Amino acid sequence: MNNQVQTQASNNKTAKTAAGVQISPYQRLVSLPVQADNIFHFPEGLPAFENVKEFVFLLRPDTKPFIFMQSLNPPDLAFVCIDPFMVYSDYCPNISEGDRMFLRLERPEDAMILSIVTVRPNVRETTTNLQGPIVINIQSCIGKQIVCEGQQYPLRYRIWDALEKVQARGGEAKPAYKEAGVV
Amino acid sequence: MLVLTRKSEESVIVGSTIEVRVLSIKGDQVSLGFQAPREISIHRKEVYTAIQQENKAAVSRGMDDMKRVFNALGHQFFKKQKDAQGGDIPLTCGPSLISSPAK
Repeated sequence: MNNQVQTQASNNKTAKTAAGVQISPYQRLVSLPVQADNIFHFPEGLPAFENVKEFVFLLRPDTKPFIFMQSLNPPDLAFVCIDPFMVYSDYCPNISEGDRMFLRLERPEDAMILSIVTVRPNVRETTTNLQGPIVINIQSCIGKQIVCEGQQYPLRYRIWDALEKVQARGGEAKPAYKEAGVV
Repeated sequence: MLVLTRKSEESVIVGSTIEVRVLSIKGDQVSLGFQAPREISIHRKEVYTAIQQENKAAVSRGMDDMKRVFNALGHQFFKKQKDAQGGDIPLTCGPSLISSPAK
């Protein structure tokens, strides 16, 4: 299993990450500790959160297929993500040459693509953003939310039907790349 | 906001690496050409703004959202969980990933 650095987390209840960031369990979405090699750097942050530059991506067995994108600073900012290929089988986002350079992406298999999910008051109207997917490079630890401008993928793609199908097969995620350690 | 007036074929330099040139003007439409390092993204503003707004709407408000989703999917969420901790698996990145065995 992960070579977990023993953090100073006690029963109660602020954990220090290996990077020295304090994250209160009451603020964050899921429990941590994180190590330096769990931290993805987003040099441009995210649109609307341009100053948030470090994220970890977390899986929990009881909430699959969702993956949580948790900010380190501020510690109370998190997004729910999903593997877009699971809900849109022909999804083929174009990662531009500029984006590849930004991510220092040398091999396509180093790219992991997730899309941010917007859970709505009526959960059946839950959507995911296929126009601006999150791309992370598991080699370089760099991430970016890219814009697939020429491609007409929807900003709000309804995923409820696909979720029901996923649930029917036991919530099994079909991870993009096994090397990333995604279950 | 800095305001400059340009004619067709005239340019503006932003920083030292970005050039914006007015290519043509037809009626109320301006055709702009951009020269910039490839790592710098350039998008129509309304596209960027739409993604900003969607990101803001998507910010998670905690596990309640997940509870509602899984309950509606017919799956009892947190049924066995006494607390919300444990079982989180963070993704790992870095060159060492390739040489180490699956975790």
